[in-house]
Amino acid sequence: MLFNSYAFLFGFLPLALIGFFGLRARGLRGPSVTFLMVASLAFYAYWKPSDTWVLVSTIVMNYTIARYMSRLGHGGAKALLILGICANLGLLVYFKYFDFLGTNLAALVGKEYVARGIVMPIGISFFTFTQLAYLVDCYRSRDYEGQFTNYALFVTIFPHLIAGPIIHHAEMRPQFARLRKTPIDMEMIKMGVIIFVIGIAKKVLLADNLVASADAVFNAADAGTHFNAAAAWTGTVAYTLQIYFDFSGYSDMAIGLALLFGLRLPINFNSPYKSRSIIEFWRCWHITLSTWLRDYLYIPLGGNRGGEWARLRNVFITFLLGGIWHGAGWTFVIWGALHGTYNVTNHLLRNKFAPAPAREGWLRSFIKQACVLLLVMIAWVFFRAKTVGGAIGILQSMAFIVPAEASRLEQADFAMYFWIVLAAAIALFAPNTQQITAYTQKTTEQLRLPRIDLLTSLRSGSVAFAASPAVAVVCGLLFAAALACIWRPAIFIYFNF
Amino acid sequence: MRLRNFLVIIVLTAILALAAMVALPHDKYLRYQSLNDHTAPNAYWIYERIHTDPTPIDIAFIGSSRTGRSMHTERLQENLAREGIQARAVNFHIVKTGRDMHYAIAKELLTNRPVKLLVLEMTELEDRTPHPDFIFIADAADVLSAPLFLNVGYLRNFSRLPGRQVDLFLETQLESVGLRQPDFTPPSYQGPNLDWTEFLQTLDGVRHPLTTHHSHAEMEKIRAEQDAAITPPLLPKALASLEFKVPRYYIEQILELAKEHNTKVVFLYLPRYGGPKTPPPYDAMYRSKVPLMNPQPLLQSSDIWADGTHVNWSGSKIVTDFVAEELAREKYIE
Repeated sequence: MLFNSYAFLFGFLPLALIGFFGLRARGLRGPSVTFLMVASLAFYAYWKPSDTWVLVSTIVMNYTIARYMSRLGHGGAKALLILGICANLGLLVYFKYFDFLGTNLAALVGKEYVARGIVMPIGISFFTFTQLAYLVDCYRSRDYEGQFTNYALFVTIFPHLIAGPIIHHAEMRPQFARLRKTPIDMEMIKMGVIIFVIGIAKKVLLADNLVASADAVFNAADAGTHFNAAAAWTGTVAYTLQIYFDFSGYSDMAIGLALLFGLRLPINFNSPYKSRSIIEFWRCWHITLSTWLRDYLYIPLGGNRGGEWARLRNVFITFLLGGIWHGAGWTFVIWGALHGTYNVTNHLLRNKFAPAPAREGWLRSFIKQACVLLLVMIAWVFFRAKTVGGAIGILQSMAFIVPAEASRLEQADFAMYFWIVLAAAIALFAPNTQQITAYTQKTTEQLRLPRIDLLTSLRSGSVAFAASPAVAVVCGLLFAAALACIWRPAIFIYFNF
Repeated sequence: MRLRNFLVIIVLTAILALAAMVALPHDKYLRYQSLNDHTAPNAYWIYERIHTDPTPIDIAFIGSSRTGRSMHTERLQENLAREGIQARAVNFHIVKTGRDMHYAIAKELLTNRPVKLLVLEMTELEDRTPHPDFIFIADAADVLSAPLFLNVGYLRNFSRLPGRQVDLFLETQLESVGLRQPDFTPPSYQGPNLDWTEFLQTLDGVRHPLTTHHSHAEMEKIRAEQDAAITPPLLPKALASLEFKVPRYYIEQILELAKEHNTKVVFLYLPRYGGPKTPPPYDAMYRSKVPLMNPQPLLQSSDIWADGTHVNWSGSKIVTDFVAEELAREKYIE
């Protein structure tokens, strides 16, 4: 079930909260954690009950492997780790890439391949990466999660289960322990409500209102339509904004929901479109995936240990595989390769030129930001298009290489441009969720909403605000607006990955 | 600020904001245009016929696609004229079933135009579920005041109402300043009689003839398939008022509305192929209250059916002629 659905908002979530806090109110903190795990499994099973076996069997498998790994010597543990990695990746490859590989290998040897039409269990890319990281961490530290319930909750906790943020066991373990022992800070719940409302507003009010503009261009381009430059730019800008608000909205909702249950998830977005370099962009976009790729792919590949060229090669391979992780298709391969190339170039330029001063002039800063955005948008064209031909067609139109019979965008109207301009203004100039709420994932720091109320905040020009009545009213208005719009079926983009 | 107060303010604000959204005004014509089913478009025309065409509406047919495919109103008018009755008939059908939709159309019609006779479709089995497109057409007050108990569509319609109201409000405002880019533009007015009996004209302007017919064996096969697909009344007769609460509620509403506006009501039984001789819902509830026109004995031949539930062009002539005779003979209209 989607976070932005009536079934979730008025069915699952209230029941989960009542069950969880009902148990805690009776002093049953341990059972409340078990309840949360069971509720999370039910949340997953709601999508397609028959897929739950994949999730449950990987949990049992990885828990068992980690447990035995801790008892074995170096060689045995390594063998078990390799077995675990192969089993996890094997499942992922089977569900996600089997048909893609089959089709391309068959084409390579000149044979025909009949696709099996394997349907991927939802969230498999995320729960596989979460568990792979756990296995590697266990191998490195020889420390494993003793309580099966805790491990199962770590993998399944419903706010992150389907599309992240990708979490690490080391981040969650102390939180689970605290959850079993201490009451939940009410400040976390207030912050959770605010962050959830911001997230649902981003998704439903912004991302979903951009879908039509992006789809109109990309779907037609995939079908062979050539657009004029204005239409191609409109579609690309709309998708650039749609994917940001869709995924960052989802991530905010996930963080907000986790806070309602006393847990902190890592931040996944940090105003990526304000970045002034591609390297900075990847420190702000899908942060948990970037971190995962760095820790479990780039560094094992050798990182920067083999000299400059080896480092650049590893950077490129990491982004290429990151692209393939997103989906089985050549468009994702190209997207990954493009970002790999961007990053390699960025590293080379950074080595060649002196580092930029901390405070740059606005013009220099603006040019850098515009260049980054342009490069990111070019890559998004491949990410969104279903066919390489469709993507190239749009890029040609964006470059004003358009045939005489190129179409204009029939659906273009005031509302379409209104949403694009509003979304762009927010993405480029507005403070992000953690700036507004002062959220931090660091469990060593106590979560406290800023003590400035909304009106004072607005008057002073600062961004953070406290849980004041004015903030509650704004949250209520945003939530009402989102509720009014969520009847339109709109899945999260990253649910497809 | 205490968590409880914080949450209470959020909830109250959200409720007030949603209520304000529901109260937003809009152009009702845009609302009717929002139901632009390309397979059988006529909602926009229903609004135009009621509000912009001064041609009288003496006889109004309200029902589903069965009514749409059965009643050729121009032919009916000609038949009645031959009997010395000058009356203008209009086919206000909307495809798919659901009595709430019939109520919405009847309300729009009767509150805006004088109508002498309302002919309401009756079938062999009332649909327990509301019309899937009720939310497109109905007034906000009717969506909110729909029966809640055993109404499987209530929450769906209720949840969509604020969004619908906001969308229509914004469209109305954009339209007023010339900034609206409509998803659908209705064709120019199609005249006082829009009948989909001889052909159906889709929005692309293509006319699809409705002259299909089947052999007896084919129709029997279709009937057997329908028999297997139909869910007969699930509860015992004594509990039918529960099972069929929603359709019965709306039929009563229509009858009350007609009474208020001095409009006579007659049911027209339009069975499926091989349907029962008389409609069981009629026998159960309305036999003593409302007269019934029953062409069922004339609809036995497989040649006059386009599919299991709709007559073809030949069948529509039979039904239309029968109705004209009945109206004249029983003096339902004078």
